[in-house]
Amino acid sequence: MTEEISGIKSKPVYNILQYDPKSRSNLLISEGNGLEGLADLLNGSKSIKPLSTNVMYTTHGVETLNSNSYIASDRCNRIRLFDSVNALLENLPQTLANSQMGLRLYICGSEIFLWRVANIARAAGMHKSEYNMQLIGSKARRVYCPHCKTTSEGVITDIHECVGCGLSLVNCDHFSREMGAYLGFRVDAEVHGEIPERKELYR
Amino acid sequence: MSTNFSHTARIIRADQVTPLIKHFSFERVDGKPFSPFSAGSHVIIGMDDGTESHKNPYSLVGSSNNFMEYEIAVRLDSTGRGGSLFMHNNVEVGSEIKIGNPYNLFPVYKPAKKHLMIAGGVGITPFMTYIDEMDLTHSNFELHYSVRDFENGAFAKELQDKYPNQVNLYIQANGIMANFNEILDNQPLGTHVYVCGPHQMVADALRIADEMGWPVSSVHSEEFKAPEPGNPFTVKLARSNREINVRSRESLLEALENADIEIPYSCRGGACGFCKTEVIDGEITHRDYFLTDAEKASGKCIMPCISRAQGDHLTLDI
Repeated sequence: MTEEISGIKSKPVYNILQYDPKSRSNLLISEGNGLEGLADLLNGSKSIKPLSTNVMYTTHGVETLNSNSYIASDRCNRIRLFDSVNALLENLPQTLANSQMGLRLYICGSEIFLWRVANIARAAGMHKSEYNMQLIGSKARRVYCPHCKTTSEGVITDIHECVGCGLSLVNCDHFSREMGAYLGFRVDAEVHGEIPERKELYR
Repeated sequence: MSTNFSHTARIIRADQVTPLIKHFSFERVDGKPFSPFSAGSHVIIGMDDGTESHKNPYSLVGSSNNFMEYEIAVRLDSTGRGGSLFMHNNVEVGSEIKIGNPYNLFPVYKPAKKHLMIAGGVGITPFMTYIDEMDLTHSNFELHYSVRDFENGAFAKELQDKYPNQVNLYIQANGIMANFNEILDNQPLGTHVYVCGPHQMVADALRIADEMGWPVSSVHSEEFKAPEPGNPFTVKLARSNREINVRSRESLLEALENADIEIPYSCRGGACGFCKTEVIDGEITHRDYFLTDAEKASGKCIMPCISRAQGDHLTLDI
């Protein structure tokens, strides 16, 4: 099913974090094992000025961190560890409101986390050229149901039951950056009740 | 965009606001309201001085909520081709001019958290409607306005009186120069900067913004050039098999229009891109801001509003 609806341009493509030498200050943000991506960025880009670089991260939900997820304290100005993703995301708007033009964000974590951060950045007036993201962690999807306008979180299969209306939705690669969600639609729209077997695709 | 003037307008006020800048208000002769416009819009004004016709772009400077009147401010360019001279010397209360519909190449980015405006000289004009709109919408704004001396600062006093906390005036005669490094430093995240003024000032502000990590999406600028006189040349029109002479003081666009050939245009100042025309043969002297360097190097297109032939001929694909 998903093979037939791939090749969609809106599907995000992620790379490893790249330091922007035009930046005046840097904010590195991660969740879970995404800390590894931040460590790689800091260790690999010696031109990042520690005094203008801050880190916000949470490792909530990760039992053992990858061994190279280590940020030396002399590589940045301030490191803040949060108890949960929500605690980090609740703090972020105020942090951005106190920031100046020339800031670049470097975000690393699960796909859902990346877009939650990106949307906070956008609400703070940042343009997509001012943030940079790397996917390390779960590829589980947020899926938007156009039938009942509900978004289901953490979908790992091609077909799932919408948490709002209970319809079986197939999710496609059409991605809304604004919602941070993929588009789902009724899998049995043409022949009601004809629901293919689901496959796990997004761990 | 229109190649035709929409309305005839009559001047209802004309004030010399500085030795070089004259401020006009006008209304439609048919008594109807003008089109609504957004902050930063310009209009093309058509004048006929008896021997030559002129079509010049001017930013609207009046309130965008008053549809019965439009206002423009015209800086006298005594070395120019005569349009501004005509507006200064011959256009008075009661005079009639032609006017096109407003068009905006320099709109306000409304979702910005803060609007930072940098103006030099007559570059203040688009910001008159910006500030009017930002005041009404209670937006966070800041203006940095450089003028040669206080006497030559159009609208400087009224802006400073009305917005003492937002308006910063730099009077060059007093040795006070705007420092773009300081202005662009420590601006809150989500700020957009808008620059309008002399070419070198705009170039400096854009370069410094880039060096200070401002993304191009947050940096906006507008500058219109006026066509400069040049050597006369012949333009061949390949499709219609015609030959037209372009005189020294007229632009290629004007020569085509005088031969009843309609080319779409908006700004007539090398910025908007509407008049882009394919070139088949002949060397071009490019003077616009629109074409990319690669397009200019290719020699395959020209902005006839301000660019000319380098030699004595051009062949256009029209």
